[in-house]
Amino acid sequence: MDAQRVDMFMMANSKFFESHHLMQVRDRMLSLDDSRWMMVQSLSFYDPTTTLIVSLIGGGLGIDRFMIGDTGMGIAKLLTCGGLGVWAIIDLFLIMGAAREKNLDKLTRAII
Amino acid sequence: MNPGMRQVYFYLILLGFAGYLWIGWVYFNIESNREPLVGCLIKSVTGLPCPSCGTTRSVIHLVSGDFIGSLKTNPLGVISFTALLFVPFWAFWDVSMGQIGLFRLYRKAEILFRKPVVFIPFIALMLLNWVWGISKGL
Repeated sequence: MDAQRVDMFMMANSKFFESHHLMQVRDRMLSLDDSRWMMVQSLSFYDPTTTLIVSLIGGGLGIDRFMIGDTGMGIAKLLTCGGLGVWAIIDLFLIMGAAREKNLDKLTRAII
Repeated sequence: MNPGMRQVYFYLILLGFAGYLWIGWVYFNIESNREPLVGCLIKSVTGLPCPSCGTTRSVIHLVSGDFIGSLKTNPLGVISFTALLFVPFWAFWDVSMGQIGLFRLYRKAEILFRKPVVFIPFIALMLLNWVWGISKGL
């Protein structure tokens, strides 16, 4: 894919990925065919900041985990009152990273 | 085993271990007639029970053989008790034997719970259980 397009994509979407994944994402995008551009553009990513806000409000009920597609963990969190509150607090720090990992998964699945 | 699988197994084993520790600690407190513990952050802050409040009491009823008492406290306790009986040991077995049986079940359950036919009744039941819990004053 054209380097200019890829850089444009990276600039617009860099906050959705872990910083150490950015080069990997860029390389993968560069090796993609031009015909996939529309499909990659149409992907919607989980916003880490939004998940953090949801985690602050509904973390005790596992809503943050449900939101990023971690249904199993969401149910576990819901059934344990947010891991007796401990998991809910730990997740305040982990959820942004988890959302970014999910975004990388989503992109990888879309371009394979 | 890829990093995603390892993370799921890590969480399941940790949760199981924490669950046994918590039940043991609460049981010990009841036996020695100390103040009952409130483990729920939502209940401690707002005073209102969360949808899963009463699960510990329900599991303790089950451990003492009182199935009806357990259902009356919070039916989610039965699910937690069953999960606690099987999941940590199965996870431990899978990790030590290098198998992924539990992970496959976990993924299937996740896919199932993403279907509206399953998750809408699940949320409705959780809400009903919550309303029941609040009206009981858990």
